Amino acid sequence: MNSTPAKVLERVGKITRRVDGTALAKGKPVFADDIHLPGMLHLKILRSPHAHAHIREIRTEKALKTPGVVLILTHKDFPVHYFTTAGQGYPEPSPRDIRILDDTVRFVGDRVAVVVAETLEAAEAALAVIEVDYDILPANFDPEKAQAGNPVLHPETGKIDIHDAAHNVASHLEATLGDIQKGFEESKWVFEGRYSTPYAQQAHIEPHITLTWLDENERLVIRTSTQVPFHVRRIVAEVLNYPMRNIRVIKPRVGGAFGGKQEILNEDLCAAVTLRTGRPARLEFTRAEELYAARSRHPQIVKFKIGVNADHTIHAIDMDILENCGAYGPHALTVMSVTAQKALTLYRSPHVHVRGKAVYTNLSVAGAYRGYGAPQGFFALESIMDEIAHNLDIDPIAFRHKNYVTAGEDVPIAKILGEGREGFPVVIESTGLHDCLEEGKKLIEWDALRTAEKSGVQRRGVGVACAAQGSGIAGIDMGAVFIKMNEDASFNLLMGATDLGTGSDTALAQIAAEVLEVPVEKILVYSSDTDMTPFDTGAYASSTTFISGGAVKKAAEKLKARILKQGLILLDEKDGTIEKGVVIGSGGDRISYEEICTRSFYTENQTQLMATASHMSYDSPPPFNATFADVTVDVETGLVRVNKIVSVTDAGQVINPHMAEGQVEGAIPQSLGMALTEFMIFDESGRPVNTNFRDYHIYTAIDMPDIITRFIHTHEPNGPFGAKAVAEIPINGPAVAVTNAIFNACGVRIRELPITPEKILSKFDEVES
Amino acid sequence: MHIKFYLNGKVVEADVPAGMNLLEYLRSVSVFSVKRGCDHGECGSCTVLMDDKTRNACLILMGTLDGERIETLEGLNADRRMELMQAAFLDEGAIQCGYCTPAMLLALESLLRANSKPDDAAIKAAFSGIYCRCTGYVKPMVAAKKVVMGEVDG
Amino acid sequence: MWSSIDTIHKPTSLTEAWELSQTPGTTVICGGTYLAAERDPAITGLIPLNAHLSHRITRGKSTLSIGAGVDVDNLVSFNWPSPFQPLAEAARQSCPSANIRNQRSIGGELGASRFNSELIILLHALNPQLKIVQAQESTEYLVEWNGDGIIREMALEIAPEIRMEYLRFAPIPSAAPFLCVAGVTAGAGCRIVVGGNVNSLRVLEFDTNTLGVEQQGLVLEHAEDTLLADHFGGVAYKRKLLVTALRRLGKALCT
Repeated sequence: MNSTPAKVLERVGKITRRVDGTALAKGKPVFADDIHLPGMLHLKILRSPHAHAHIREIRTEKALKTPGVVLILTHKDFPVHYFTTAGQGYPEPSPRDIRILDDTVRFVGDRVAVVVAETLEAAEAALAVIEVDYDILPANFDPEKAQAGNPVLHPETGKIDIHDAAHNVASHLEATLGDIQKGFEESKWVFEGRYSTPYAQQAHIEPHITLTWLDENERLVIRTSTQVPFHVRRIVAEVLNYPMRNIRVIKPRVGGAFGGKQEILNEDLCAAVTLRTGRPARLEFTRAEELYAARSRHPQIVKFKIGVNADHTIHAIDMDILENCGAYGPHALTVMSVTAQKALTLYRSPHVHVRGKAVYTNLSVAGAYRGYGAPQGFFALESIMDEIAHNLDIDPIAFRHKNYVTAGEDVPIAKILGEGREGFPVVIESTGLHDCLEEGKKLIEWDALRTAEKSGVQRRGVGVACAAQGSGIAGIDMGAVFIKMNEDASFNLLMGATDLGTGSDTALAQIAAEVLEVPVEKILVYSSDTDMTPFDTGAYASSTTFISGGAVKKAAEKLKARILKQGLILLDEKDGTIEKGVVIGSGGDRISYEEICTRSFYTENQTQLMATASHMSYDSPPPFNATFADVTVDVETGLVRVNKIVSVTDAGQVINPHMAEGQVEGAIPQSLGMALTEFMIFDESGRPVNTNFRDYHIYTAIDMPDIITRFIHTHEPNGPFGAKAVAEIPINGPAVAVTNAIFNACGVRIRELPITPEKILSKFDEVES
Repeated sequence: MHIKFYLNGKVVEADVPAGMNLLEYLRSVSVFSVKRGCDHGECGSCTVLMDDKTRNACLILMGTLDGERIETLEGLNADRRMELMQAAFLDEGAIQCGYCTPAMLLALESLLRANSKPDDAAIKAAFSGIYCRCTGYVKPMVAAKKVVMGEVDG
Repeated sequence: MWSSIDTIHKPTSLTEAWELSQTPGTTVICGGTYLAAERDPAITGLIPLNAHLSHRITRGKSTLSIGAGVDVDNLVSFNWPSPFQPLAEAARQSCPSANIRNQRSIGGELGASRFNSELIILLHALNPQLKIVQAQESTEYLVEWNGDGIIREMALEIAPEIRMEYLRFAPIPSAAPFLCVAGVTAGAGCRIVVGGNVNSLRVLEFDTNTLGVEQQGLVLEHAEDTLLADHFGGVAYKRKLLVTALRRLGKALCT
C-alpha cells in the first residue's frame, strides 16, 4: 500500500469518542449474555479432579434423574476427532491433540462431561452426582523433566503435528544465522543467563460466555465473546461435522479478552447441545474455571548466551527456549516463535542461533495472552542486557543505543523464523526507539536516580527495558471490508475485524472517515458477524489497526474513486476532485455526496456506490517501546514498591491518541501483576491453589504506581496513514524494567519471576556478604 | 419467598427463591448494566447502589432485602450529573471494553453524593472495589477528576 | 444462587436470633460477604441480624460504643478521638474494596475474625469489651471470647495514655498482608499481636510498656510456629520478617 502524500490529517490522530461508547456508558445490553432466550438450557462442565487419569467408566443415571436435567454428554457421545482449540491461521500451526470430550484427562480441570439442564442450579446439582471411575496415571508437572516421557501425555495415534509425542515435545523450532561457534570465539566477552517466567492469566473481567440457538431457518447461531468469530465458525463446523453454511457466529461487545478468547473453549459444547436438543443453550465460565481451566501465559525458561565485541556491539546470540504448554498445545509453536522472533529482532547480531521446545506437562493449558511469548523473551533478553551493561560498566541505555536495529536495516532472523512457518524478509522502515529511550530517560530522571546513593533500608533504583513486537502476522493475517454509501452521505462499514474493547471499531472508522473526508459519525460500523461481514482472521497479534485498517483504507479509497467518477458523470465533467464531501468538477460545478448518492439510487446512472477490499501484508513492522521503572526496595523485608512506570512507544502514526494511551496504561498493571502479585499456583498433585481474585491478585485502583505514557511519532510507510500496532508492545517492558530497577536499587538480580520478598531478601544477604 | 424493595425508585414485589442473589435477580429482569465478573464479591462488576452506597449485588441475598433502596445505571441514565460523568468517560477515553464502566460510574455517583469535591485519594478509594483489566484506572481517574472540577462539556 | 437456602428467618430480637441459630444448618448473617460468597450447601436457614443491631458509634465519657451493625466504611470515615485514629486506616486496609467496606459490619468482622485482617489484629491488641447475646447477655474481652453468641456491641475504653501501632507486609495495598503485627501500650503494660497468613492469631501481654529486645524475643518464640509458608516466602523467611517487624514495632511504639 502506498501512503498518501503528506496531507494534514483531519480524523486520524485525533481524539475521538468511541463509536460504541454511548451504549457502553449507558450500560446497554450489548454483551453476549445480555439477552434472554426462551427455553434456554444451561450447561456445566464436569472437570477432572486428577492431573492425569483414564476414565474407566462414567455413570450418569443418577445425575440424569436430578430434576431439570435434560442431557449429559460424555466422550461416548462424540466420535474420536482431534483438533486444536487455538483460533489461528489454517492449517493451524498448533498440534491437533484435543478431543471435545475425551476418555483421558490430562490436567486438573480437563473436561470430563457436560450437564445440560433447565436451570444452572439443576446442572450444578447434577455435577455432584455423576459417578466417574478413574484409573489414576502418573503425572509430571516439571517442564524440565517432560522429555523423559514419564508419563507420555499424548500416546494416541491419530493426533496430528505433535513434534515428538514420545518425549512430550509438542513443538520445536531451530534457526541459525551465521556461525554461532565462530561468533563466540570471536567475541571479546561472553555472558550467559537463565531466566524464567510463570503462568499468568488474562483475567478479562467478562468470563467466557457463549449462547447458541437455532434461528427461524434452523441455522445455528453462536453468540459468543470471542476474538476470532471466523475461526469459531470453521472449528465448530469441523468438530461437530456440521455444514459451515448453517452456522452464523456473532461477536457482540466483548468484555476484555487479551488472548484468552482466541480460543474455542465453550462454543463447541454449547453448539453441540443446541444441535441435539433444538433449544437455546448457554455456557459461561465461573471465575474459578477462568483461573485454572481456561488458558494462560506459557511459562518459559529462556537461556541466553551473548557474545560482545570490544566496542560493545553484540556479535553472537544463542537463545534456548523451554516452553511449558500444559496438557495440550494450543499456540505452542507460535508463541515460542514469537518469543524468539521478537527478542531477536531488537538487537543486531551477525551470529544467531535459537532453539525452542514446547513440552507437555499435566498442568493448566497455556495459550494466547497479550504479547504472545514476547514478554517471556524480553524478560530474559532485557535482563541479560542489563547484566552485560553492569559487567562492562556502561550505562544500560548507552549499551542499547549501540545495538538496536535502526531504520533501513534488515532483520534476517525474522525471515528464517516466521511464526509457525517460514517468515518473510523484514526491513525496518520506521523506528523511534532512540527517541523512546531518550524521552523516557528524562521523564524517569534516569541519571539522578541511577547514580543516587544506595544505602539504608529503603533503597530506590531505576531500570529500563526495550522491546519490539509486530503488526499482525506477516503473510498470514488478512482482513476484509465492505463499505456502502447511503443517501445522507453516511457509510456502512462492515468488517470482519473484531473489537475486543480495544476500540478498533473506532480507529477503523477514523481511517474510513479520513479517506472519505467525512466526520467519524458518518461511518456506521458493524463488525464481526460471519453472515454479515467479510472475513477477518481475528483480533490477535496486534493486527487490527495495521491489517484490518489497511483493508479499510483500501476499500475507502476505492469507494472514494467510485464516488468521484459517479459525481463527475452526474456533473457531466471529465475531471475533478473531492473536497470535504463534495465533488468539484474542473469547470467549478459542485455536487455533494448526498446528492450523488440520492440521484444514484433513484434517478440517474443508477447504482449502489460501494467497495470491498482485503488486506494482507508480507511486512509486520515492529512497534518499539522503552519502559522505565522507578522502585523502592525495603532490604529488610524484601518488599518492592513500584513508584512510577514510564512507557514510551513508537507505534507509528497513532490513530486515536486516547485509545493508544489506554492500551499502554492497561498493559502496565498486567505486566506488573505477572512480576509481583499474580501467581498461578499448583500443589504437589497439580491442583490449582488460587482460583479466585482474592488469591490471584490483579491490580486495583489503589495499587497503581504513577504511570506516564508517551508516544514517539514515526511514519510507517506500510501502515495505514503510517500506523503500526500498539496493543501488545507495552506489556513487554514493565516486569523486566522492575527487576532491573531492583538490581540498581540493591544489587539483587531476579532471574525468575515472580519477584517474591523472600527471593529478594535471600539474594540481598548473599550480595551483602 | 415474597420480597418487597425499591428498584430505581419503583416498588418491586416479587416471589423469588430465598437463596437467589440480587445480581441474579436483576439480570433475570433485564437490568443488564449489572454484570457478572466473579460472582464472589471480588471484582465489583455487579456494583449497585443501596442507600446511596456501592455494594456488590452478588453478595446480597434477595431474602435479606427488605424495603431497601436499590439503584442501577438504568435508573440514573437520564440524570444530569450521570450524563456529565458519562460524557467525561467518553471524552477522556475512560471506557475500553466497558464491562466495568457501569460499576465505575455508580462508584463515582455514590462518591459525589457524599462529597462534592473529593480529592484524588477519595476517587481512587471509590474505585477500589471495581476491577478493571483494560485501563489501568488511569483514564477513569482523569475523567472523574474532570467531573469533580466541573470541566465537562455535555 | 445459594440453592440450599430455604428459610430466611425474621427474629424479633437478638435473643431470639441466638435461639434460632442453635438449630443445625442455621446461621446468623450480618453483611453476608463471607457467607454469600461461600454458599455452604450445609446451610439451609439464615437469620439476618441487621434490623436488630445498632449502626451507630456513640461516645460516652470514658468509652466509645460501637454497635455491631456499624459497617467498615463507617469505621474508616469516623472521626476517631485520640488515640484511636489508626483504627480508621486498619479498617480501610482490612477491606481494600470500598464496596465490601459498605457491606461488612464490625460485628461480622469480629465474628469472622480473619487472621489477616489489620483491623482484627489491631483490635486484638486493644482488646475491647464485647457485649455478647446468648441465652443471657454477657460481657467478654475480645481476646478471651470463644466465638459463641451474637455480638451486640464493642466498647473501647478511652484512655489518653494508650499508644497503638501496626505494621502490615503485603506486595501491594489491596493484597491481604502475609504478616501483620500490632501493638498497644497502655499504662504499665503492652499487648502484642501477630497475624497474617498464620495458623492462629498470637497475642502476648507484657507488664512493661515497651517492646524491647527481650519482649521481641518472647513474641518471636511464642509466635513463630503460627507462621505459614506461602508463595511470598517460606517459614524461614516469615520468621526473619517477623524479627524485623517486631523491631520496627518496638521502635514505633516508643517514639
